[in-house]
Amino acid sequence: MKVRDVFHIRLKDLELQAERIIDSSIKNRPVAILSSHSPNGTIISLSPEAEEEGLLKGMNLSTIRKVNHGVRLLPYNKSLYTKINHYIYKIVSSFTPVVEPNNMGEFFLDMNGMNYLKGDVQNNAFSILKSIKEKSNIFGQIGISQNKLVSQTITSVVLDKIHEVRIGYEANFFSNLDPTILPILSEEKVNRIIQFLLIKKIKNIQSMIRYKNEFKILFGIHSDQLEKESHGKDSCPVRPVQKQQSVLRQIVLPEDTNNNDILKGIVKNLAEQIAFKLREKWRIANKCKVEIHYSDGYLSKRIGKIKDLDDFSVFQTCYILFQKANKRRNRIRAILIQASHFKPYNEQITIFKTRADKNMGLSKVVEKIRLKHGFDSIQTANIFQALGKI
Amino acid sequence: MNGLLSLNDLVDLCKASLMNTIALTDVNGLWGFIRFVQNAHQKKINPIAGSNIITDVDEVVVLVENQSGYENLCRIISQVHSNSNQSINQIIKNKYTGLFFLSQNENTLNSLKKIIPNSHLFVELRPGLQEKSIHDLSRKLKLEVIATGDVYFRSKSDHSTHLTLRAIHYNATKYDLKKGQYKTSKHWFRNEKQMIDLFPNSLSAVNNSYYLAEKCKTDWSFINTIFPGLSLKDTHRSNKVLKQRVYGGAKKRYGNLDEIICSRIEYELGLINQKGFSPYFLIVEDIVKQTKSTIGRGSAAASIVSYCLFITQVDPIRHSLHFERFIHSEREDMPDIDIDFPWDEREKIIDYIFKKYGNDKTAMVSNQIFLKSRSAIREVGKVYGLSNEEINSITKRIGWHRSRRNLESWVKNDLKFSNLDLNETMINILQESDKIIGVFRNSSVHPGGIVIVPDEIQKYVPVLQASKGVQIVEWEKDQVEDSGLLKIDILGNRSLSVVRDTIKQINLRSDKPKLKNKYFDYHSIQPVGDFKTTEMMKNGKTIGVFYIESPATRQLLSKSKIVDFEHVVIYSSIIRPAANRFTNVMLSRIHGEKWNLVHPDLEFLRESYGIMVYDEQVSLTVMKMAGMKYSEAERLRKTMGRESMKHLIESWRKKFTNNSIQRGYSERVIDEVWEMIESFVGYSFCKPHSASYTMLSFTCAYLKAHFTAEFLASVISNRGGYYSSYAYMSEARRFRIRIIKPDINKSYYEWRGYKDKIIMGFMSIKKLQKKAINIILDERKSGDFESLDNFLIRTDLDLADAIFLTNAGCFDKISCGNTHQEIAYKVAGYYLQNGNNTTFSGVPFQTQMRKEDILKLEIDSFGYPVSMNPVSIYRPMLSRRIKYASDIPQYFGKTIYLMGLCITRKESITKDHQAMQFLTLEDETEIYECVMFPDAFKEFGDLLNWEKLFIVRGVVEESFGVFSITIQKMASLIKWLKQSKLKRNAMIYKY
Repeated sequence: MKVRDVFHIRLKDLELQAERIIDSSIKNRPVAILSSHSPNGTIISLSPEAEEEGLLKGMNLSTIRKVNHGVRLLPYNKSLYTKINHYIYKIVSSFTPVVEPNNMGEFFLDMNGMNYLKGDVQNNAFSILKSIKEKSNIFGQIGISQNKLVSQTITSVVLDKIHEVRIGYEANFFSNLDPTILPILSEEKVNRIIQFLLIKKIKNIQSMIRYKNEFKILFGIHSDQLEKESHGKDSCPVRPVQKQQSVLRQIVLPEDTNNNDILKGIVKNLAEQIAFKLREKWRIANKCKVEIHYSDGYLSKRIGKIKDLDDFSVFQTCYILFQKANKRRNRIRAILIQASHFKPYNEQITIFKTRADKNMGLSKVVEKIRLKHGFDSIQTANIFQALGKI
Repeated sequence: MNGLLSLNDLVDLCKASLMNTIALTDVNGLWGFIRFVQNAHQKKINPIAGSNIITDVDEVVVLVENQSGYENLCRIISQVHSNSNQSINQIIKNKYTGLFFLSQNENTLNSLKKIIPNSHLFVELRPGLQEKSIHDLSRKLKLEVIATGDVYFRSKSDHSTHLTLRAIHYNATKYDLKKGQYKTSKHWFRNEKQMIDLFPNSLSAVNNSYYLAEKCKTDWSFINTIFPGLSLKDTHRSNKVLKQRVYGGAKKRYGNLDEIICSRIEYELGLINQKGFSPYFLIVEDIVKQTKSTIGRGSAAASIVSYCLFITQVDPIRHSLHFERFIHSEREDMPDIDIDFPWDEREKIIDYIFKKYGNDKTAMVSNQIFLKSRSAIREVGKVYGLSNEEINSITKRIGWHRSRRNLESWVKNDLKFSNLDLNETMINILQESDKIIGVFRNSSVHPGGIVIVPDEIQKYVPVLQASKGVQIVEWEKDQVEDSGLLKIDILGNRSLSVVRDTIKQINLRSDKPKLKNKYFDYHSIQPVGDFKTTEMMKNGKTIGVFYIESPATRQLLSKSKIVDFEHVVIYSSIIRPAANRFTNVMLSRIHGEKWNLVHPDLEFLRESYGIMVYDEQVSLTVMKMAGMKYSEAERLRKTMGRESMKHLIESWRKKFTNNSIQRGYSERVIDEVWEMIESFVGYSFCKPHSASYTMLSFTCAYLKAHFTAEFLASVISNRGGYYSSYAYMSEARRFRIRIIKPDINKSYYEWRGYKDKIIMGFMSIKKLQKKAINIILDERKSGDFESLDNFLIRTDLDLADAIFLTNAGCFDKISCGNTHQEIAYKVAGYYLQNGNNTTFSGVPFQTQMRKEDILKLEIDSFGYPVSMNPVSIYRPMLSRRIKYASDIPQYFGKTIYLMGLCITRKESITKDHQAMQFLTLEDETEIYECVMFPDAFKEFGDLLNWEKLFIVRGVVEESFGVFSITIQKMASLIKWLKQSKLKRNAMIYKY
């Protein structure tokens, strides 16, 4: 088997670290970052001081307010965290070309053949952490092993900044851990049996494997996967980011609302932005996704196709998708439209001017103004109103 | 969900605008007709009955000309309820006499013109319509025009709230409403001048409305009671049959009939015959006969006739209950006989009544649901698009029955809402909610009220099919009563089922054959005066006992130390929210404090220590002091008990005060007496009712004292009463009864008690399907399961059920000492094989079950811990400063720390309207009562919303020999432990 060095970098509580970089006054103070400030917003990240106050990750705002009134609650600043995450991605990319971003603040690095840089894996890991610390003031930890599963597990259960599990010791490393860390346990059937048998440690699963038939009966089609995972085996390679072409526009509403007039204006604004970009590429989109994010965290989406490039047609398509997706009375927080799977646009040549031609003509006129004075220089009144500009 | 105006508002507006007649035209209904007539009569306004009939096809306004028209309108509405996809013409076929029809639609008018004479058909000119087009239509069809207000709200500014109401109705947002689903802003209340301003070219139409109003029926009266017809049509024959049955029953009840009994029977029968109530008694007797354990409540318990017919269970002679509270020669309305049945037999009884009297003569009473502050905020919040969590953040802090106005200022100023995010949207929601409080939301089925009529029910009141599938009338119980319809209340009572099931279990006791059938007859239990029962009640150990198990009543029993039947009757009447002050006065008097009657004329108050306890005492007092007649006193009593009549109390107070002053009573006496009368508002009982319930309380207490395990098992099986199953289980432990987890060979569906142990039923296992329980019980008929393998071979269950049974410990006894893991391994292995099931040999690993694992399994399986008290887990982690609840009396006057699990709590309001809380906590030794006064409640009350386990610091107080804790500080036990652990660690680090 080919031996690889897979690093897993975990920037613990990246959101909290980012906030503390921006505002040093919250250092050593109880702070929690919420997904949103609505009563059902939950804690994404929190400081140890906040934990001491009795708060936990995943706790919702209503409970936080009941439990504690002294913790500073910060809103989820996605653009800040994304920027920092991307910056760190760039830093770690200088150590290896094969980097796979995982969740926010997590990266897999395939360090195969990179040992020439610093000599050995430990030194490499130390250099990466040092570089991240120096360039961004963010602390992290690294798990090193031969595969992604073990490396990721290391950073979630071991407190050391750098920890390595050598080849052949994976099963041993896993044996005393809680089975819930195994990805296969997200399968309800497997989880139910593990819970029922009161299996608290992975070594119990390892010992069950000796009785192949019984193990197969208990876990059925998942038995092979469970067997591999419980021994710390994972053949999944580190995959660098695959860039797929798409146009994505999102608006977070100035205020949560279920007012149809405002929502229609927002959809129109997004659709015109998408149409503008598509005309620039002269491409139509075989996939157009409209996503609605409600104030209670619920997400609803619909997928369709954009067949024409004028503002009116794109808006029509998007608005129909929006109406189909919006089946609730709850207020909406954000709307997202993404166009992808592009195809060249073949303009129909017709003898007589159709409605579509007129629409395209109008769109092109507006486009000229926008190219000269900026996209927002010309809008219909309802869009200005929807965006809270008038 | 159309109009914003209440009936009161509507009549008041009419009065203020100097109008003398008004028509109520609810959409497809006469929902508030009786209440409307009462309000209108009171304000001297002529009420017209009508309805705006809207079908899927067309729409018409119908007004009633005479009685036959009213009956036809009821039939029309009933038909619309049953099928709204018909034209008006189809619906009113043969049902149009005595009715006026108004419409603005040409097609509708054309089709109606074919059957209705021009004198009864009009073109309607309502706000929003063009005068010219209506006049053209009138000329074309040769029909007169009538101007109508078509009122939906008070003023233009209420239009937005009307839209909200419509959005609630259609489950939409305001922006989603389509034309036709709501009214324009023109439909506000206008007086005559404003109507003329609106229709300046239609003076004749406005005048025509006066003409029509004069022709409509406005002299409504509902004096006569409508009795159901029996096969015994001849009243004389009914009287004879009733007499025979009463004397037959009297012999069973009393044995020898002495003169006192006979003369009482004759007196009651005389009045019953005179009033023509015999058929009513015979119907009720017929219904009661359908089951063994029932209890007649209300004033009927004062009747020896009811007692001898086995409708009630209290001997009115022995317990001095006065028949006049039930039937009086001057009583105008129909007396009520309410009967409680075991809760699980009620449906059967209702089916019997419907079968016997037929669907055309019988219907259930409806419950009219009106928006209260909580539901109003919830509904408006949804229209505004708030999430459930956002809505809950405010509604959770409002009590269920709070119907407060001025919500905005309440929420802004009450500390309860201190950490609520009150943004602009929320303020709008509160303002709109305020306006829709009191609006009719929908109707549902009353739990037990049944109306029976002699001929056709649709003649008296519109009926509709409830979503449950049962036929209901449009009116709720009060309107039904006031309309003269005969209502019989068939209510479900859990404690009757508890008594029945306890007796069943006692009879199953194999070791006492002598007991067999001795207690079978519920009527033969004589609990009053039993020593063991009395002692238990004196100590307040009445958890599980019907009606006297609440913390307040248990404390009252302990404090008084006198628990004979007469006193318990008083206690169960005096425990009501507004009578707290009088409870303490009474306790002092019981314990020897000297007292005098408020006035020597009120001698009848002597039996209750000079305090007004029963509602008949209110009647007697106003008759004596204010010289009111019996019927007038009865009206006052009814006013006190009804939420809808609350506004009339002030006028009654004035009347009582003026009359009493005129009759020479001092102001001090009048004020003192009125204070007592006022405590009856909203919640009061008559003595016979309390006596009836007290008898059931004694029966339950007797069963608990002598057959504790059987009784508490039945309480839990019938899903308890005031407390949770866990609390009843704890109570059993305090009576030294062992709780045994479900056993595959010993358990039944329900919990079973036997001597000093209770075995949990399969019903206690969460998510276990009833199908699986039936399979197990059926299979067990052919013999117990010998081993786990034997069970697996003999039963065919789902894996999920097998898991639930295993986790609940059902196989522990038949698994020859196998560990939980071994059993689970075998069970999972067996059920996961596809065919040719064989059992697995043995588990390849072994891990020790920790206390926490057991606790988790129990909570997952049952919802509560069984093998240990949760408090006991934390005890070793705490210092010795935390005392045991059983030691509380040793620390009288001292401040101590205790810990406990919250069993129940009740919010209360102090005299100066501040919120406080009564808590019942328990630790592993005893249950104890705590009080949180406003200051402590403000500081720590929030904890109660999310925590169950507490650590409290409080002062031990004593009142009449009963100890309680006045809480000074309170904390979440788990959080407290966590913090103290951190502090300890910090200390270690420091040194």
